[in-house]
Amino acid sequence: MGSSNFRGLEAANRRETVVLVVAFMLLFGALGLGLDFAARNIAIIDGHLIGFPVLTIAALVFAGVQSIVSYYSGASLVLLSVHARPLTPDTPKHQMVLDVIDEMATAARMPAPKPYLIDDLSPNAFATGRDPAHSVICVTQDWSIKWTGKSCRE
Amino acid sequence: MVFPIIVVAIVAWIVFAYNRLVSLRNQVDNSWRQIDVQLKRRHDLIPNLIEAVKGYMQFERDTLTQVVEARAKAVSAPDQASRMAAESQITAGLGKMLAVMENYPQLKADENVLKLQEELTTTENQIAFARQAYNDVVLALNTRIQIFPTNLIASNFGFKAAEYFKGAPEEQAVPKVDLSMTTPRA
Repeated sequence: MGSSNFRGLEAANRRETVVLVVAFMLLFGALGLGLDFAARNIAIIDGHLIGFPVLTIAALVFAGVQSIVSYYSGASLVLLSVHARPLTPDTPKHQMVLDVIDEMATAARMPAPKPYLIDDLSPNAFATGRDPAHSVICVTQDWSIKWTGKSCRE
Repeated sequence: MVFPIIVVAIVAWIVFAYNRLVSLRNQVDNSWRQIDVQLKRRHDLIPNLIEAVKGYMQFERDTLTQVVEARAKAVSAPDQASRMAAESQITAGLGKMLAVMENYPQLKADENVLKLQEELTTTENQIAFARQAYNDVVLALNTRIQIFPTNLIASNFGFKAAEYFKGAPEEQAVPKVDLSMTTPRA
């Protein structure tokens, strides 16, 4: 029952993120180790590991940097990929969408996500971010035009 | 040897319980401030809305007056309890006013009225959600003040139960539903 509410889901997502990052780094570490053995940078002689695993270290550094960039910039990269722009209250419909976002944030007792808009004619919306304080929500132009205040709130 | 350990354990518990009570009290204050911001915003919106609709709604003088009087009571309320009661009356009055406005289609063509109506709707929703959050924190504080053994230190350190933000009696009344066929207003 605890995991069925959004806070339980958020906690589960955080745990899965840790597992994913660790698995990603282990995979790259294993890849680097394999390449080091193939390139004879390292060898096991009489039960001792000889040599310097330069490719393993490079692979781990790459995996670490990639994980850090994905974790801290993931939301920005997603927004860039869909050409999203900040949603401003320049029309009554946009103001209504901003109002509904603020209301839902108050109801959920968390910071309001930053609102963005995609110039797309199909109705769609998504949210992303590493934690509630760094979250974003993105809606399409079609969604913001067609929906009324009543249907948004429902 | 045992006695000092017991003393240290009791002192540690007192510190922990006191800090928890302080934390809850601060959460109640913060939650009230969140509501206060929205209530003040509502106070500012009401005169603008009344001014915008009174020309159209000349026959709804009682409804408009109820809202104006409740607002005046809330602005001049001497304490939090009377303020909460007045604010609940505003909520009830505004709900009735917004429902009555549906009978005036010419209001929907007025952009200023629509804008004010949307601002008021979102403010009312914010107040409702903030009220829920406030009452939840008040429940947590009041429970902790009353349960044993925290109640032993709560009164000694001056912690008092907080007031819930209750709805006005009008909000809790069963709405009257008239299913008779009547001629709609022009």
